[in-house]
Amino acid sequence: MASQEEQERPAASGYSGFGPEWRPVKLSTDEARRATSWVEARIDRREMLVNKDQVKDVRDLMWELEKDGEIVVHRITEQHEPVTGRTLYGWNKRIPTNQFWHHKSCGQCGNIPGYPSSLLWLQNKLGTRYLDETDQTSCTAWNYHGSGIGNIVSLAAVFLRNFHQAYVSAMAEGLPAGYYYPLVHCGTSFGNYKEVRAFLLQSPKLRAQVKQILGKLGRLVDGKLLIPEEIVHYSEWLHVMRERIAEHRVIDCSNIRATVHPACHVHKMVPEDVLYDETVLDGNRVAVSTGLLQTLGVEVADYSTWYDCCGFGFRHIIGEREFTRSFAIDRKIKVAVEEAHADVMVGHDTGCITTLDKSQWIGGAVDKVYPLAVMADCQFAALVCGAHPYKLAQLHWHASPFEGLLEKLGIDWQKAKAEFEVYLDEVKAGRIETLYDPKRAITSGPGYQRPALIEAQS
Amino acid sequence: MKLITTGNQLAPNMITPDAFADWGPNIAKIKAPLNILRKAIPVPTLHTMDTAWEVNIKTSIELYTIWEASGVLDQLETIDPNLFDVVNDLMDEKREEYQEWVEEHQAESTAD
Repeated sequence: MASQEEQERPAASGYSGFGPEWRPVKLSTDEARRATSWVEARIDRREMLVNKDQVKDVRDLMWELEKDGEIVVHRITEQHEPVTGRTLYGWNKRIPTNQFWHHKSCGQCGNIPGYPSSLLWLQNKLGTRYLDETDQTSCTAWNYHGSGIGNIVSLAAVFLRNFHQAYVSAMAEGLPAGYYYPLVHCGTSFGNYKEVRAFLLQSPKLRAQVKQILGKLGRLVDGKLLIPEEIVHYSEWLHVMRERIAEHRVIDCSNIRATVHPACHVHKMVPEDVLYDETVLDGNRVAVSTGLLQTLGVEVADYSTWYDCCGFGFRHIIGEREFTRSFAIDRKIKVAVEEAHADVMVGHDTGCITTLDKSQWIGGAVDKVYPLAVMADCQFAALVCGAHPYKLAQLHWHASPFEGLLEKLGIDWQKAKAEFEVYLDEVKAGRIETLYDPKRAITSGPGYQRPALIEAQS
Repeated sequence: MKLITTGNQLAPNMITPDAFADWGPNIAKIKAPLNILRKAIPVPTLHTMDTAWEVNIKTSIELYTIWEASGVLDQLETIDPNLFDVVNDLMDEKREEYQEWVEEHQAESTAD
């Protein structure tokens, strides 16, 4: 006789666990505890290390292809002032610290604009040279995984098209190609690009298909595909710069307890490329964000569900919002508040910040109210380095209650809010403050001005 | 459609209390018109409403070539012929717009 679960399951050829096929697993408290214990016992001890010998470093393939004359590598050179970090397997990963081409995130720019503005503000503070320009597409990965728009050829072409633009962008300013190095803002883009890089390096067929497209676009270098030496996430830049950022801290944050949500797209996709550091939670967790917070003086609290997804998934946020919201509240926010007694949850990815921040309000409908500030690592760092919470960190776009955190940091948020409202009148009158000269954002086509012209007008 | 026609997956004016009712009543905790709030972001490329950042028209046109050459548009035509037609019209419009700019620009350069 079929079990109740089997009777409920639709008679489809395969079980996808998505849409109408999704069912709650209905774990008992004991079963849920056992599942979590598995994570604590195995994942906490970096279980993935046991597979080390089976994982190849795709960068070896990349250097071979360059040697064979098939590709050109956009190298990280001394001008980018690289710092070497260590990945999960102890492999070296060189992180540039200067001359960046900012590869923006559509989710950050669309609904968490304080995320990129805080990053650029920190870079201004440290005297970092960069270009934030209009000639870039999103990675398109969310649509590929979420709604099926795209395929591996389009994902690979978009990857190489954007990174080629990063390579040539400086020429619009009269500087040599390769001057700027791409810095990826979005965790989903970071994970997607690394997966796609591996496919490209391993598949001659894919390289041939993409080469044809890039040729049509005029985006080959000496007739070859251009591949970046490393794919670098902004959180890696924050990590290697954490000591220098901490020199600019003006607010004591030693009374703050933070939980970090490590993004799946950052540390579970292509895990062998992710930075770990023996000085950060004994090297048992991804180092980024936690390392920065600790260096700033924050107490980072560990918690039992640290390994869990935020609930965003890839498709769930679109097709299974109930799952997303429940998971965010029950497995992350509630645990951070009740178990870790956190003042804030800090993340390093677009989808996670959005999910953890925006899922809290609806919890009130089922008496699940666990108020917790949620923000990105760079926003928190900017705040304690003196950035304005509204004008710069743009916290008014956050739905979660950040006001209590600001009070604990000694920031008068009501005064800051009033200042921002006054500033909005200035904006209405066209007096807008920006982090860089807006003319630099256009590097070709309508509106482009040659650098000499920009300099003359400045 | 936003992604295919602009290369951005999200836009500020897509995020409204009606569209995202589960986010609560405050898309922003400061009451002001969206265009003013966007201009108050200190990153110039984000002073936009229809796309997450300002997208260079040349970028969009390059993306159309990728969609066509990678077979994505063929996939779209199979899944949703009406959307395919709309997207094609938009792509044609943008290509014409860009071509006009190129021709004007070339004429200006010649005159100089």
